[in-house]
Amino acid sequence: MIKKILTLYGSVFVILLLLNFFLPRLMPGGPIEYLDGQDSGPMLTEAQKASMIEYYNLDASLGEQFIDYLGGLLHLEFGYSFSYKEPVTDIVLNHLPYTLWIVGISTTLSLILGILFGLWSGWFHFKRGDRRFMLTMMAVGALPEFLVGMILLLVFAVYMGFLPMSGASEPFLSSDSWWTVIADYAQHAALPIITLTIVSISSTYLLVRNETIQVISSPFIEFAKMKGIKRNRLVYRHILKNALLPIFTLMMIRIGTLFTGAIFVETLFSYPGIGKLLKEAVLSRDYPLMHGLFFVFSAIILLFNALADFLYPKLDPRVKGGNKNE
Amino acid sequence: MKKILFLFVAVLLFVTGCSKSNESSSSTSKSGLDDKKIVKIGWQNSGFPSPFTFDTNGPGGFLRNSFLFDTLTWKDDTGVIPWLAPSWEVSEDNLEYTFTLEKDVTFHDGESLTADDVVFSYNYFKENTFQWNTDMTKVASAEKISDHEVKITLTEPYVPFISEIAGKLPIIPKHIWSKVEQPLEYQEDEALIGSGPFTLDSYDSATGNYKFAKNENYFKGDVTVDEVQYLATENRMLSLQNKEIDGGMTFNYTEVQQLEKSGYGVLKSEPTGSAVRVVFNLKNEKLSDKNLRQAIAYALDRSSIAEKLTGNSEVMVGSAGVIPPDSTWYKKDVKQYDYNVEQANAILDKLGYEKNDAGIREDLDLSVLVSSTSKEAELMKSMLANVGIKLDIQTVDSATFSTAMAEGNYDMSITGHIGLSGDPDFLRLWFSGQASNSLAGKGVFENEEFQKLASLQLKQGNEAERKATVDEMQDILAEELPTLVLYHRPFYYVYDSSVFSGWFNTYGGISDGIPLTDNKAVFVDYK
Repeated sequence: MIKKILTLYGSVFVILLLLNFFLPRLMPGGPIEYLDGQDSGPMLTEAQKASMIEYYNLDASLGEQFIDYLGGLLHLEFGYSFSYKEPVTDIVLNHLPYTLWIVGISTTLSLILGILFGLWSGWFHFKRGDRRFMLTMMAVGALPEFLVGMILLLVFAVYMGFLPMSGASEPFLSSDSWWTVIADYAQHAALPIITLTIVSISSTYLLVRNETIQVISSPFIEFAKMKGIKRNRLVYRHILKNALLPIFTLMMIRIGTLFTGAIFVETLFSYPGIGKLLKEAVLSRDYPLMHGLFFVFSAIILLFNALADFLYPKLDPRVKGGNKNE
Repeated sequence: MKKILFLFVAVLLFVTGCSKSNESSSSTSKSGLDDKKIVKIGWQNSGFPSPFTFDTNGPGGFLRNSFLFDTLTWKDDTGVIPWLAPSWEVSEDNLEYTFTLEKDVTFHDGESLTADDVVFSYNYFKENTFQWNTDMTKVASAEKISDHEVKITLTEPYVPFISEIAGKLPIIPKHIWSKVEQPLEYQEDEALIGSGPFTLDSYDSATGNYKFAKNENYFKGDVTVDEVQYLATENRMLSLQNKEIDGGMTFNYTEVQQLEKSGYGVLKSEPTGSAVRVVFNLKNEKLSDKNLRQAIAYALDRSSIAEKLTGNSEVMVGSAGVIPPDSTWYKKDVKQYDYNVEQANAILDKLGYEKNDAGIREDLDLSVLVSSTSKEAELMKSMLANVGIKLDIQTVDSATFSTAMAEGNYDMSITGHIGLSGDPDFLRLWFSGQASNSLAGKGVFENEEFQKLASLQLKQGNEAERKATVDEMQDILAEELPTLVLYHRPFYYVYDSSVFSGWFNTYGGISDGIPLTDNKAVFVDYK
């Protein structure tokens, strides 16, 4: 089992790493052209340009660059970023915690809320109000991240001035109490987190609602009702437990998509995570930085998928099926 | 389950609670502001501000660097002024520059700045490129004459030397950099030790925020503020109203007017020093004919383009001779192309591009290349349709844009620039192909007379003679139209005058003509 998962995801990962080298280079223009192409940028003299090309090894053949890239991969080193002029590993490690923090919290929040809404909505699915609720949730789920973010930004940050517009913290906040510092970080992360939560809540909600409706019609629920078990206990103990399995797989996939959603949200709120960094790296054709970031993104997404594949049979022995000798 | 609900409520309370607690914390920090004078300016991340690593995407990096490092000369609202060098002499053949240096200058670490450091810097930058286009091939050697005298010899006469090299090249400490072999990778705190009016207190590369602290022992005079912060806010004008920053730059005149009404100070860049222009591909079969280029110039109502895009009715229509009308180098009676549809039609008819029944000249379909969305291109499209030219707009990102420009895969393109009010040598750099800002240099203008004049003006030490040469260059540009300037775009600096109001426009623009207000001299009391 483990071996199977490892070979499958291992080979996918290797293919991704190869694409990671060639795709950026297939885009028109390179880092020098990007610098060249800036409005109000400098005018590079030919000598300056030559020295840059030499320094960044851009005159080396594709083969040589590829060997360098592979060598770097072994040591998890991607070289120096063209635009930041810092080692790529340092830059990624600097930005990664911001993304982990907003994606982590919004995953948890969207799961908790999605499950709660789904359970109760399934419980009341025969009422008219629930239908409206479901339609609203579906509509919300169809909105793109940047639109939701833009609306929240306008309402809470611009008109109400209630939350900060951008950034991850108050710049150079000098405070002795670390409570103020944490509060400041939480306040800056609030809008990005709410945005990511809103857009990802509906898929969990719909799934849980469906599961709930199915479970409710099972005879054991009928029986439990007859025994006179209290409503809350019925919903949280009996129904939730039986609806949890598919949610698990969904959760693993959601985490991956939330990371990609973070690209838009971070750009909108100029939140310094790896999503915003990736956008900048692509625009400036910063190959080493792109290598590093794609590596992190593909590793995270594949890891969660592999984890789901690995854990699911353990949670639900039925899917093991097929091989009866096992 | 109740626990989870409780947790959720707790999180909600926490978030709402935070906003309150933060208000109180910012009010406490405000009371702390009374004894510290802090100026906060909005600008995007410009990289680690050492002379080798600052970001060259826009002028921010060079300006951040100039807060930490000094140059031999500098500029303020009167033009070039002495900075590290109180005086200098130029030899008759314009080849030797002898600078006397200020005596009591120290670097931030307490070591004194002497002729050795100047000589070292000039040699070091010959080996390791300075990032803000400084042509070090013009410098032959730098020699120490005494502890406070340096002689710099050029390889050929280069009249803009005082502003274009001496005014740009930072003097770096020999005792630090002589040990550094890979300056690009050297990002220790020592890499930021210069002699400038500020030291870098902190820089957060993730968010792009800078905090500069006052240099207490600045040689040139007292630094009038304690701290300058550069904050990478997403929308400067909104952040300004939210009091997150005290000043920021914008092009949007409508916003400027609103903010001016609500009491903010506004400084318009004068001279404008910038241009939005159409670059013609001179290798293109049709566009290589100057008559067609002139017809396009007549067909475009450039004042209306400018008015619509800047939101301001007082616009400066692009000069056909490229140098903006408010520059001292502008030639007054240079040929201009006023909006004239009949004339455009007449020229196009004469060129043999005939209109069909629908009024379209079928043989003449052109395209315009733009990076990012360009409203100019949209307006051009409808104006050119009036004279029967079909214009196709191609939008690409900036790296693709400059590749297409370099390979000549375009008919026309639209670009924006700054630096037009500085030394007129930029005309030579733009059109000679020697400098390679694709927006500027790649479209080589093969006009012998122009190239001759371009090299001549470099050698003319007499300003009146040089002006005459530059005038002739403008005449050629206006007649041949290798490029058509649509308009000269003003920059507005909007600021909270209760925090700091000493801003001024630098004569001809900071350094090589940067039309921004954050000149370090603003914060130094040197007069």
